[in-house]
Amino acid sequence: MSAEHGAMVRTYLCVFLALAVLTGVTVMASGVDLGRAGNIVLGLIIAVCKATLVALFFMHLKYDERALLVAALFPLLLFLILVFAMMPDIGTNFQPPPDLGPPASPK
Amino acid sequence: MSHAEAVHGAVAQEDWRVEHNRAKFGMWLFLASEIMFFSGYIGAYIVLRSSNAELTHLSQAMLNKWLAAGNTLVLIISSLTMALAVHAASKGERGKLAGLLLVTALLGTTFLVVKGIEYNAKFTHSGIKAERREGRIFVTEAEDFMRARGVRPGDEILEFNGVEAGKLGDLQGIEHPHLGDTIKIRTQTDGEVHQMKLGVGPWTNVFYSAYFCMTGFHGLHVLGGVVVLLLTALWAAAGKFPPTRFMFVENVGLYWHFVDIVWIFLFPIVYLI
Repeated sequence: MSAEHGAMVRTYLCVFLALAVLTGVTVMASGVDLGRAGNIVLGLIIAVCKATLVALFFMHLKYDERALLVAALFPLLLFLILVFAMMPDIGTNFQPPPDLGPPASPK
Repeated sequence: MSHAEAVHGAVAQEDWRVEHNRAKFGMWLFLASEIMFFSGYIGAYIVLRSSNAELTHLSQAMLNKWLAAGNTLVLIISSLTMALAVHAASKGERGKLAGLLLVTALLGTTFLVVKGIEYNAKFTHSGIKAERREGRIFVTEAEDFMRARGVRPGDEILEFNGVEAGKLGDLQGIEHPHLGDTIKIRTQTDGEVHQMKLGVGPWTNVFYSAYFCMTGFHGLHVLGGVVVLLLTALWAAAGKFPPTRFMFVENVGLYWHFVDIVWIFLFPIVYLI
């Protein structure tokens, strides 16, 4: 009982450390120029990793019944469908870049 | 313990586990609806920023990513204390449970205070400097986000909060506005007179509309969570959650971790990338 108790607390602490490190990594990675798409993909991958850690361990999906996992994953499928449905809009309704005028003239 | 008692005990234990799972399943369905709620905003944000790349870029550069990173850490710590709280509940450690719930609520409050500081810094950032020339007021400097709204150095400010330029005291209010302050300005870009809200807010441009909408609704979720956490801490201290009936605590935990996950996504997509 006590060994299991300690193991669980240790797992939580490890997950917390991983989340903290990944937060640091995502901030640092955003400062490195990997190209616009590269930075977006890396940022999203790290976010998905962090969310997965929280869901599996803090939210107990790893230990719970399969039905809960299905309930948790289903909306993600819906989200992907939503994004797919928006595809025609994404990147096609370009607004012209804002006109900022000439740079401030030196006095 | 007789055999009958043992069997009865086992059945009772089976019962609370079934009940527990049922409650959890209900909570997950609610969270599924919450995921779709935020999906709507995130979807709109994807479309808006993909069609306004330049505006997104210059607006994003004005956000304070260090405050947001600190806030991310605060929420992650609160998720840890929440997970430990649920663990304490399952062991029937009443005092520890109440304490950890209270700490979680305090961390949530910290998040909200930092968010408030961040919002306030935006609301009071006018992005223009002005000077008085012969009783009239002219813009001397305009930051990029104000230029994107059509403001240029040399534009004349006719009114501030309904007071005519000639009757204005100092120009402090224009350069350091309060929430809701407005100016009437004649812009050279189109020669028209515009009523304009000062400060950076949802009215500034589409990026900031999305920013305040997403972070605002997330903030409201945190606020709701803090209230429920405080109540749960009180009930826990009163001994309302024996180790066989703590599903309420567990569901509060699921909600709190969900709020953390939403921020885990909002932080990079809004502030970093």
